[in-house]
Amino acid sequence: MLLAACGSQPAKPKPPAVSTALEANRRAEAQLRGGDLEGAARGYREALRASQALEDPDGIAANAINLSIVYQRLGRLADARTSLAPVLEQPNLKFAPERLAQASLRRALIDLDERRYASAGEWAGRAESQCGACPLSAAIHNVQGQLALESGRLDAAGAGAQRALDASRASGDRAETANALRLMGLVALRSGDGTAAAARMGEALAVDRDLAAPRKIYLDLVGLGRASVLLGERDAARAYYERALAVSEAERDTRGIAEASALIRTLEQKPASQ
Amino acid sequence: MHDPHVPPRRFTGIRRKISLFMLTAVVGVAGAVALVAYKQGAFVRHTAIYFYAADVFGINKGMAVRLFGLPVGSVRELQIADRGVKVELSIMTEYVSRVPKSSTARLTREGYIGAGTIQIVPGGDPTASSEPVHEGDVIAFVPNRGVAELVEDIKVQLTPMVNEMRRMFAEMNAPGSDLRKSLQGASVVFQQLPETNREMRDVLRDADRAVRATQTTMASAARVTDPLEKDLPAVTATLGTALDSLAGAAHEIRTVARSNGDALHDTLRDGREVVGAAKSSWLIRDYIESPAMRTLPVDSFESFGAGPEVKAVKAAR
Repeated sequence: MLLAACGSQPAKPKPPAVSTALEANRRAEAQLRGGDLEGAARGYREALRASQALEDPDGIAANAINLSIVYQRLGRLADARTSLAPVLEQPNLKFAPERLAQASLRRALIDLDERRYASAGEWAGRAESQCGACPLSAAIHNVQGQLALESGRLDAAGAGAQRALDASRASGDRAETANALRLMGLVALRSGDGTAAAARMGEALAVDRDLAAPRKIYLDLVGLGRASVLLGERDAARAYYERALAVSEAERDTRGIAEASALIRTLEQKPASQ
Repeated sequence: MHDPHVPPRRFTGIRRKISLFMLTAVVGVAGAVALVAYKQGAFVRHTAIYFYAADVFGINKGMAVRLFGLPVGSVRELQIADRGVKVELSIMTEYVSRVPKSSTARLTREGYIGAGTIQIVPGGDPTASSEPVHEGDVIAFVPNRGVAELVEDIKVQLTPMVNEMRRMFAEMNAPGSDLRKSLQGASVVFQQLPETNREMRDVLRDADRAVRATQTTMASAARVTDPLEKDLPAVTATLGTALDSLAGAAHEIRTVARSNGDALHDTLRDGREVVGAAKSSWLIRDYIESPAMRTLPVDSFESFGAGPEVKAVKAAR
């Protein structure tokens, strides 16, 4: 049996063009981990081109989605939207429903970033219909919850967050669990319930620290600071904001640095105006 | 009364003395004249030869004529003729045998500001007649090239070169020229150098991780072989040795990759081959994820930069 196993055929090597796309994809991922967003965008563009040359639907979808994520992080929202076109506006290739759901959800997130809430809702609904019971359902519920929050429908937002929490716990998606908890905290903040907000944000922070996600940690700290403001604990709020600022500075997140600094200044200005 | 004249005693023989003195003077003068004439070549036989020149600027009577640098005669006469100016050269006959009929005459100067001379240049053409000139023969005259001719000559030689340089500069300045393309290509390459450097570092990091993964896999494989050793000691011993060799090779690859930058590419390639071979072995391949396109997680909070409070702050600014 051992000899038969030793004599089995080795795995067939991949063609060079496929290897090129794979290598570009891996390289871009490494650059993204290293904080080189421009390099990552270049790598994903190269991988997308290589996949398009091979008419590989899965490769096209994966790299288009990745490219849209990188562009969004770079603040290039128009490019992020355009990068999804090879999936969402390509009727001649057959993509897996899950891939289509991913692309639709990405489109919803870009529209949400641009405050185009109606369009974002449409794309989130499309993602939901394409997904069915796919692992994305928790993320879709979270996006729908955020849209409800933005439109002031706090009950719908809370319900969406709860559905997302249930789905994420069922699927074991801890990142979406933390997102759902954070969304619940935001709903509580909007409702004026500082205690509930602090509790939910604290839970989200614990998960995000466990997942080592700096940007989420930043958001949780900002949420905790706002909850402290709501509770009248200005020193605690300032401490949270300063921690958020430190995280942003360590991450070289210029947007986060600016926002955290603005929050600290706001906190300093309020006593003067009172 | 006859008083006969008696010449004074001191005039005795004066006629003879005067005659002797006069004769001596005449002989002396004649000797001096003869000496001067001899010195001037009056007693040397000369042969007259001629040449015609369009003009005789710089040529005058008495000008020395030289053959191989030796004075062999002089310009005797200049006469305007129907072919220009006829110049008569008086050549000492003893040198005439050295002057073939194909010889040419040219006006030269000793240095840039020296006296002018007529230089006879024996004909260099071996096919021409080697018969020496005779009295009355005419030889050719080669006029000197003037400054204008020299300038024109230089101009003729330089013009193609200048035109070629002008064409080259025009090509270099053309927007689509090879030089510009090369410079643009070089510029692009230089701009990409930092990126290439970064990618190289990424590749190094990937290689390091791959080697570590290989070592981990080797350790796993070693654990798998333990139970097999009990049943098939011989086979497992061989496998253990092979795995040890692979682990050693992987360790060596990592060491070499870290220490030797120049051999990095080769080592990396070899390392990949080793890792590839290890991956394709039945013991390991089930534990290694097959290469596939990776997708980043679609995060529902990707767009959530900050809460409404922050956005309000930003809007107010």
